[in-house]
Amino acid sequence: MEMHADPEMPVPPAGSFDPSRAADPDPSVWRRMWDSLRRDKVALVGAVIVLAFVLVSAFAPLLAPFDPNNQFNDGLTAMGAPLPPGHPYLLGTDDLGRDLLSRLIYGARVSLIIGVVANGLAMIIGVAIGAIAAYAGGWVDMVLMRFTDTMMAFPVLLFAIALIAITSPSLQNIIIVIAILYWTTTARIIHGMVLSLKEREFVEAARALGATGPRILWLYIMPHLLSVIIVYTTLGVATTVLVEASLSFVGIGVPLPTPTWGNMINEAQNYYHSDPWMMVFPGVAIMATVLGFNLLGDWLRDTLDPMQSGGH
Amino acid sequence: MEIHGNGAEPQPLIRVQELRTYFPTSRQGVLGRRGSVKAVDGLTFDIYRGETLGLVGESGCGKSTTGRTIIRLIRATSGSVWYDGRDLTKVSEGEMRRLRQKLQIVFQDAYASVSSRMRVQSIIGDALAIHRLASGRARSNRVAELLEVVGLDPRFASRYPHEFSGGQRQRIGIARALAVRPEFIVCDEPISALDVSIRAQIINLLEDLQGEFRLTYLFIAHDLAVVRHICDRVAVMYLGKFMELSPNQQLYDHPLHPYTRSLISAVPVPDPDLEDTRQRIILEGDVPSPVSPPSGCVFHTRCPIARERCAREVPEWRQYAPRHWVACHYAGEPLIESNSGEPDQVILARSPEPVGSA
Repeated sequence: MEMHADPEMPVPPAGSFDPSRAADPDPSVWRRMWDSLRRDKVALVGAVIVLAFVLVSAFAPLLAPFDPNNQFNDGLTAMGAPLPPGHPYLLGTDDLGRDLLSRLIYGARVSLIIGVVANGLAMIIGVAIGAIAAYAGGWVDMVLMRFTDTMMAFPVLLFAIALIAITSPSLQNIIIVIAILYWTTTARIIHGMVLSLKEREFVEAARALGATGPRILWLYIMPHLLSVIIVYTTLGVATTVLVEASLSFVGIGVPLPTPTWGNMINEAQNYYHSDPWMMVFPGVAIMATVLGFNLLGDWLRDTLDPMQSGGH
Repeated sequence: MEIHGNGAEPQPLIRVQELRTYFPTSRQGVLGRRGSVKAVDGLTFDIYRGETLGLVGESGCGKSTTGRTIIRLIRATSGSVWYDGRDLTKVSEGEMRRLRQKLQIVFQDAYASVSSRMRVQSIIGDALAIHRLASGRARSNRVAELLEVVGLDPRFASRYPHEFSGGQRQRIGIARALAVRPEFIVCDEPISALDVSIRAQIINLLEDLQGEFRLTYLFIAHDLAVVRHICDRVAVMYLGKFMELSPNQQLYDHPLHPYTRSLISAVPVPDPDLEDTRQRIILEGDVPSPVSPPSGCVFHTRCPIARERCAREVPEWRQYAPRHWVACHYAGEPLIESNSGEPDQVILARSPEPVGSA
C-alpha cells in the first residue's frame, strides 16, 4: 500500500496517534477493520466488553432480575446487615436490602448515557472551537485558543465539584458540567489537524470553486477529521465513566436512589470491611468498562491510522 | 498603460497591471527586519479572449504565484487585475466567490487537489452546488455529461480519487473546472506530473475543450517544448518579472532576451542533423534568491551579454517589435563571446552573487 504521509504535517500532540496520517481514508475500511479486529485478541476483548456494556445498558429492564430500587424484606440479615452473594440475590444486597446485580445493571445505563451524551457534547464543542479557530486564523484563532488554554489550566475535577455544588446534582447538570470541562484536548488536536489540512491543495481547489468557509470546513475538511473524532470519543467514554464515578463517590453525582456505579461505591464505604462485595462489584464494573473502551480506542487509533493513509 | 499592437487586436479578457505579490519572511533574530520574497514583481500584461498565453520559467520564478494571484487564491500585494470591468484585487469576498464561476484553475497535482474522502460525483457536483447550477437529478446528469466530455466513463462518478490513474485524475480535475462553465482557466502545469505517454492526451483534451467552450487559458509550464505546441503567445519569467512576451512563433524564431535564448537553446530538436548543430547557451550559477534579487536587471548576474549598465538600471518593459515585448537594455544583440571586441566592457556570466545588492 502506498503511503501518503505528509512531511509538512505538524508534530502530533502527546500520545502515539498521529492524526495527520489518518487524513486519507479508504472507503473499503469496514471490512479490513473487521479482519484486523479478529486477529487482535486484546482489542477483541475490548470490543466484547464495550458491546456487552452497551447491550446490558440497552436491555437493563429485561436483564435485571429485580427492581433495582426495591428494598427487599428478606434483603438483609436479621442483624440488618447486607447479604453476601447467593440465592436469590446473586451478587448479594446493599445496606438497604436492594439487589446489587440489578443496581449494577441499571448503573451501566447511567454510565452509558453520561458517557455518550456528555462526551458527544464535549466532542461537538471541541471540534467546533478547534476547527473554527484554525480555519478562521487571526484574532479569532488567538481568542479561542487562549480561552482553551485557560480552560485547560483549571483543575478539572475540583472545578466540576464546585460547579455542581453551586447548581444541584442531577443527571442533566453532570452531563453539562462534563461537556463544558472536557472539550479542551479535543479542541487542541482538531486545531492542529485543521491548521495543516487547510493548507492542502484540495482546500485551495474548493476555494477556487467559490466555496464559503463554512462549506469548506463541513464538506471538505470534516471528513478528514472523522477517524480522529471516533478514536477520541471512544477513549473519552472511559474518562467520562471515571469522572461520573468520582463525582458520585464524593456525593455530588447522580442523586439517589438512581443507581450508579459511583454512588454504589460511596454507599459501600461503611461496609468495606464487613461486606467487601458491595464495593468490589461496582469497582470491577468501572474498571472493566474503562479498560474495554481504552483497549478499543487504542486499537482504533492504531488501525484507522495506517489503513486510512492513502490509496493503493 | 501600454498599447498592444494595432487596432485589429482581440479584446483583452484579463488585464494585469503592475501586479506584485510579496511574501513576508520570518524575522532574522528578535529585532531583525522582516524581509519579503518578491514572488511576483510588477507584471503588466493582457490575456486576450480565446487565446492561450504560455507562462514559462524555472521553478521558483513565480509562475504559479502569478496564476494564483490573478484568480485571487493568493492576495496581491499591489497592482490590479481587471476582469469584466472590475478589479479582482479589490472586489468583496462575496463578489469574488460569485466571479469564481468564470475563473477556474487546473492544478498540477490532480490527486492532492481533490479530497480523498469525496466521490467523483461530489467532487464535480459540488462545483455545481456552490453556484446553484443544478441540483438533484439534474446535477447527476450534468456530472455524467462532464465526465463524458473529458473522456471518462460516466459510471466512474461513484468512485473515489485513489481508484484512478494519474491521467484520469487530471481529467477529473479538468471536468471540475469545466463544470461551472468558466471563461478563463489557469492551467498550472497540468501535465508536469503525468507520464510522458499521457501528456499528449491531456494537451489535446485541453485544446479540444478550448475550441468547444471558447476558453481562455493561462498555461503555466516549465519547459518551452510543451508551451510551443499549445500556446498563442508566450511569456518568459525570471525571478518574479517578465523577461519577454511575444507571439509563439516569433519567440522561437527571433528571441530577443538572452534568457529566452538560453531556454530555447536547451530544447532538443527532433531532427538529428539540426540537433548536432544546435548550440547550447549554458547559464552559469544558480537563480539568485528572490529575497534579495540582484540590482538593475535581475538577470544580469547570469547574463552572457551583461554590461555595467545592467547592474545599475532596471530595464524598461518595452515593445521592441509589434506585440513583442522585452525587458533588456541590449535586446536582440548577438551573444558575444569573450574574445570579441572590448572584453573589459563585457561582463561574462559569473557567480550568482548579486552585485550591489540592496
